[in-house]
Amino acid sequence: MPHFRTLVLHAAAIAVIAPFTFVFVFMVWNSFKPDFLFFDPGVWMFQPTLMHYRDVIQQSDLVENITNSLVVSGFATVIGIACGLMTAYTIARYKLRKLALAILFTRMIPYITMLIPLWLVFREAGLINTIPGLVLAHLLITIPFGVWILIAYIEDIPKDLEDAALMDGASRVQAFWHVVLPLCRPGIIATAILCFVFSWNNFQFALVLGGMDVKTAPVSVFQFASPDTGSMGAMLAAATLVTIPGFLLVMFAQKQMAAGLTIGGISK
Amino acid sequence: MVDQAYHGTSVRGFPRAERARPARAALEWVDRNLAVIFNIPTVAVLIALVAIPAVMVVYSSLTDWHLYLADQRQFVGLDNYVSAFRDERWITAIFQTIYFAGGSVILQFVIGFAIALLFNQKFKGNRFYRGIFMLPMLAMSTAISLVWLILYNSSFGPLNYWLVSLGLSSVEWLGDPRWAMPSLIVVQVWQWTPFMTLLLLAGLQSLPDEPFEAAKLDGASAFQSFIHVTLPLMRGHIVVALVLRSIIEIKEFDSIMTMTEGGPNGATETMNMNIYLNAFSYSQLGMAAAKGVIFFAFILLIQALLLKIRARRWSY
Amino acid sequence: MHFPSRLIAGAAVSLVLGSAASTAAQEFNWRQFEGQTINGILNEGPLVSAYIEPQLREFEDLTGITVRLEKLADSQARQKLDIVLSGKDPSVDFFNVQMDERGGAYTVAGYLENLEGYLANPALTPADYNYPGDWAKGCLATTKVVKDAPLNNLVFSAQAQLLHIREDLFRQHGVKIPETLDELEEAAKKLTIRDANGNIETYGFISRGAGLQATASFGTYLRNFGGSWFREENGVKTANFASKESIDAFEYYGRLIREYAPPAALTNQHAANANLFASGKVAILSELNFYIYNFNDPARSRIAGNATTILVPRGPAGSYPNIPTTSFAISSFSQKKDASWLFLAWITGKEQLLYAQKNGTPVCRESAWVDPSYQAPSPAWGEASRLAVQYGRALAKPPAIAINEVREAVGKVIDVAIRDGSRAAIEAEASKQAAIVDELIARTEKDSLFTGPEQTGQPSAPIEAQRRPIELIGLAN
Repeated sequence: MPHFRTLVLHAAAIAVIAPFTFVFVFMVWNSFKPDFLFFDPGVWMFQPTLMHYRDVIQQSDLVENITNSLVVSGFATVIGIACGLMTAYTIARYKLRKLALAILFTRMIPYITMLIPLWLVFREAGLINTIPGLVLAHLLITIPFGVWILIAYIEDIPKDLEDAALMDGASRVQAFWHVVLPLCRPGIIATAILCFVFSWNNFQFALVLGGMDVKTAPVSVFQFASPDTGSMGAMLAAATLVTIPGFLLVMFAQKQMAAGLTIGGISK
Repeated sequence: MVDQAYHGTSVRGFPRAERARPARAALEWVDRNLAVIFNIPTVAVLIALVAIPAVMVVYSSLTDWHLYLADQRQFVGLDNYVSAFRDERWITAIFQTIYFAGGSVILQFVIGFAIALLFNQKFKGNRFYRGIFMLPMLAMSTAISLVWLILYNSSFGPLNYWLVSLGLSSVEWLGDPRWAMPSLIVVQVWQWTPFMTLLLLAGLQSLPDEPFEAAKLDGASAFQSFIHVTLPLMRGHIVVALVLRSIIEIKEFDSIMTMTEGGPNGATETMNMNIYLNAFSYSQLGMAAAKGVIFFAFILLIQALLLKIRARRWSY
Repeated sequence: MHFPSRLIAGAAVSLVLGSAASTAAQEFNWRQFEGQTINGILNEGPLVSAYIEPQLREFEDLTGITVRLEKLADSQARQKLDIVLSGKDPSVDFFNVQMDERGGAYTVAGYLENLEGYLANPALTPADYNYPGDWAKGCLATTKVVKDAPLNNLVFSAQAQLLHIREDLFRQHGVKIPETLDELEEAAKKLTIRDANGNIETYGFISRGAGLQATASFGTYLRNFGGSWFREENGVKTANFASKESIDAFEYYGRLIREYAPPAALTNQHAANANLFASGKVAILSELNFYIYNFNDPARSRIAGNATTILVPRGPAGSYPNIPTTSFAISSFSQKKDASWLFLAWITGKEQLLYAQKNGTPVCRESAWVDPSYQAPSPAWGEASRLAVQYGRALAKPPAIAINEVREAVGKVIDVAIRDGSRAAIEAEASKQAAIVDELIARTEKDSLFTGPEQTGQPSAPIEAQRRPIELIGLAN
């Protein structure tokens, strides 16, 4: 009964995504709800208002900071993936256990403890309150994570293909560029999206190492959690605004993500 | 930049054509030292951002550095470490970190694995559902915490509204010390189960078909083949997924900071929160540094335990 | 720990030399620092959006100084300032600070520039500035938290912890508006209203009950009972919140919340309490006075037009309104102190603070309260808030270097007072926490540095004053 099976699978899939979707529906729809109606959580139908969006945009620099975040996380991701790929490649091919271990260690470091030392180092280097400075700090997130994930993708690429290229007289760099990179492209994109997400989420670096000119979105979003604001509608409007870029990213990259998921099968 | 060293080779395929000698020598030199050259950027960044600050943290942990009494900073040896282990709150924080991270990762794993098995089936619309399912992990965790703050709101949140509508009594989700931690864990599970699914699904899709066919021929039920074929084959992927998630969950900060700040009465104070409070609420930087070092050792220990059950492939 | 001598030396130097500008003409000139750029860290919120930002342009046009602001949530602003100031970094020129919070520690650490020289310098301060003449006495009392410290901050915001009440419910149920703490309990009891099924429809009372934040509401009750955070004997500062009067206050405050408040009070942040009041579920709210603007806004409230505000009722020891004020300060490490001062003097000028007063920030300038163009959100609110700036003290937090640890210690006693409530349990917890606090104080403050709100400030508000807002409501029996 293939028809029955499909029906069950669809029902299961819907049951799975329902709770995950509900939170977003709640967030978006209620961001249009007037504050006094929040006193009646049972009310779902109402005249939508844009007041919260107006408040958020006027009273905070959220929109500006979303732009900053896109720039910082974008660069941190691209550079992080570039460095990560080279390192992951050498680790996979030369079995650099110690380096792999060192990079795994850096992933375990609690950033909270590092904030003040980093601030001192950045101040000496004149990097406080600059986009390059913040990008550099975010490399601490993207590189180790990128390396760790990319090793697996590179390992999955059959060594024979690369050896064949070497036999043909290509140098290792060429083999890396022309064989390895194209083959793990889906994996790179999937990893890049994850790196972007982790960098996009980080708010301690931007708070301490940023400044007047460079502040990122999580820093202004956090403000809406502080008790002084008190407007539940504004909290949801702010949350909705910062969620949009992430979703656009997924829609844009969904096909690549899906492909990246299956790369594990390439060698089998 | 590497490309320019051998212009003319940018077409696909690898020409056997003889190159000029010096260029050839340079390429060979690069090839021989590739393991070093390729790692220069990564290692440089990590030394600047990790090694130098780490040395400073270790030094700070040996002083009684207080933010406002900086001029009286003195070397105190291991005093901070000794006091840390005498600090009841810190010991509690260690157990609460295990509770929080353990609870989050285990639930994410169980639910995430089940969902990965579902999405591993072939059916129309699979990719569509999967795309929607991945959305939570792409949302900013601080923002998501704001939404959950409202969902959990004890007076005006929909959760309590439904409980009361069903004739049950309302719950102080984030306010009751017994409920606060489970409530935070639910948010982690909501946001990061998709990530767990993603990692496990990649593993499932890379498994070879033959063992499953063999099991089928042997008359194994779906459950038996899951236990005896899928799980053993997935061991490596499972360990990787657990390592990745547990590092992140142990260090989770944003959502706890946004939703409870470690409260009520310290019920959600994890090691990371405790360090944050030591540094920026109590201004005891020396103590915060010492606890940071202990925290790092703690994470290291957990990861070592996890990697002990690693699979052969993940031998780094 | 002694008051840093370099700070005193610095103060002397700047008193003698004045500032750089004073060597030039002694004429006041708004454009004397044209072209400079100054940077400030401020708490994001109404302070910035309704007071400072709308007026910034005018200042920049007037002076040619560019003002750049980094706006951060409270806890982030503190974290950032801690790092920048302890690193003696010149990147921040001015900021806002609560003297009863970080103010003491910043003063002791020498982070706050001595402002006396600037104030006395006619080339830097407009002739009509009128400090301290136009400043309310209560506000002024909150500016000095460390003994022998010079003036190092300009206080401007005079939020007060007052009692918001539902006028309509009091009238409907014929309840006397409370003048004493006993009457408050009576009112809370009568206004805890049940529906036909015995479920509570309206709670009588709510105030902060959670963690360290609770000290801010509790401060007035403590003082009105005759208790205090600390006492000083023979130059030694010790915790006093285990004294008999203090225990009376804990017992009373805990009982009110336990018996008449919704259970959420134990954990709510203050905005959540305010929301409960705005939704109509609570009859009396002990909280900051600026919330009246939310209560009167029909888009945010169910009780618009029915809320008004009085002083927290008097206790056996009198009536001490609590004003957790906010000040501006200049960083000792700034390289543009004169330009920063010019900005602070301008933004706290008479017209600028009147603008703030009209836009929802209760201010410290007396003239703003009596200006004919200013209309209080309700007459009783206006009267009570004004009394608070006159008679107020900084009671919200126990004054100490290790302020957050001390606040948490007191928060634990409040927690026991609410949950358990027996006198023995409160006494036991208070003694335990007092011992912890004494040890902390001994470790972080070698001399008795803090003036303490118990020792400074105005006497108790007289009983006639206490009655005035109540009479304005026109319900007083």
